[in-house]
Amino acid sequence: MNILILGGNGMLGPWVIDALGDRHRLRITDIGESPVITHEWRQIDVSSLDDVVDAAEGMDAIINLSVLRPHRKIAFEVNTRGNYNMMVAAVTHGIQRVINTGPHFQMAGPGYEDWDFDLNPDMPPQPGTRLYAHTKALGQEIDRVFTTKHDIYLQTLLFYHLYDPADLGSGPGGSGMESLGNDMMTPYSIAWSDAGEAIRCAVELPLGRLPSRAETYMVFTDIPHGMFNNSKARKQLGWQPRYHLERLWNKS
Amino acid sequence: MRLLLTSATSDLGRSVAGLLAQHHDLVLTDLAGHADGDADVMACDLGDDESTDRLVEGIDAIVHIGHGGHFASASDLLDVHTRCTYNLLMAARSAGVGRFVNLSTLRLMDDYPENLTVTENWRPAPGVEPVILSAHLCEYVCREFGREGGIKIANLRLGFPLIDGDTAAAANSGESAALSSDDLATAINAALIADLGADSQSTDAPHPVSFRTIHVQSPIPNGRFLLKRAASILGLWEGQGAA
Repeated sequence: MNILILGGNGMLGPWVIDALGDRHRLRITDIGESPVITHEWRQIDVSSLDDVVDAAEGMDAIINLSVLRPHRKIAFEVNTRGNYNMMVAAVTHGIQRVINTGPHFQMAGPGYEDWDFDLNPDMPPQPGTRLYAHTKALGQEIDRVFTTKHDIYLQTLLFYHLYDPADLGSGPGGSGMESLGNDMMTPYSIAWSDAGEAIRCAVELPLGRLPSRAETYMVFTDIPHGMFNNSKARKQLGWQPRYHLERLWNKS
Repeated sequence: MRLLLTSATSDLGRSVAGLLAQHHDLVLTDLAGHADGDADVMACDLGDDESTDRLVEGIDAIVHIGHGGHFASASDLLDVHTRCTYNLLMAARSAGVGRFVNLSTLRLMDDYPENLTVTENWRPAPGVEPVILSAHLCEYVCREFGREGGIKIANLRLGFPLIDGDTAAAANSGESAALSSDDLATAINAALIADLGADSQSTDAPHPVSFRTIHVQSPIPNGRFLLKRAASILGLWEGQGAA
């Protein structure tokens, strides 16, 4: 399969490339400089419609890993309009498979997370107004609307805290060892390699097995909190987490 | 009431300004590219900066053109109706502006066949055309601010086309979803002061409602959209129109 990856230089990109690189032909793109890779590379800006449409030519699937968190203007350009550009590119080139990614709170914002348990990926989104969640949720809604009008299959994988099991604690944002035992961060955690594997499962799932043209998955490892529910990712994608990150939640 | 009106130099903005000027102290604003040269309009690009904060100082309520303002590219439409709306609401909430009236469109429900009794409880069905998609996203931004509270948001989905004149003019237009300019003015004025929880089904517990979508078209015979919520929340057109 010919796959366009947007935002390939980000933190998740190398793990996705590692999971897919031997099995598919990848076209890696990012606004940053070229990484050291053997795959085709293009430097593009996802907020540029022309850039994204050009990059998608000849592709069978698009994976969107692009994200911008703190800067308000660029966050909207990347997280919201970048999705519009991606979907226009998919329509332009007849690309049926689009895989989007984002943080879990683009769906399960404070309106859910501060109140409820067994949160699952088929709930209506309640991102709230926090910039990162809000802009990603708008992008997700753009994607969903496109699937109602075009023959495009959207799979959205939601992540949050990602760890290297070999160096547990070196989480995103330089959280380091102090994140251990921080229960606010634990109920939605995954190993980087398991995240990459989940995206591979999504890429390789036959489209005919998707119940609808817009499916969302909460992707985290098996943990006992019961706040979120990852069963859909396991059942529908056939994904199995390899690492359970016990050190985050088991004192013994 | 001191009102801020956005996209004030657009055709719809000028119409709304004309309708509201009699009863309110109006502050007109538009993006710099549109407002330049118009001494009556404050230019503001609705960025994440002090100019937006200054714009909302001392304002009691904002009337925001969430659809049907300026023609623009897809990127610019999406930008105005998502980022700029977000910045405006963020500044308004911080400044203690009490109310925000978003002027959206009933075209979001246009995909439903005319024989269906479409109300605010039906899911919006936008297309991917930028003018419609951006209106839908503008509502999305408003809804999330409404969910969190701190500012009351009336989301008025306006009938189409807009007909200059009174209800009879809308009825004579032959358009089943028409909205007359007189009825638009009536609806906006009502939305500026209405108790958004007036139709709450929870009569015992406090029920602070800070977001409400209300369908607004002229109350004409065989009107396309039901107006029950306009009646119960805005106090308008009880028993008229299609309801």
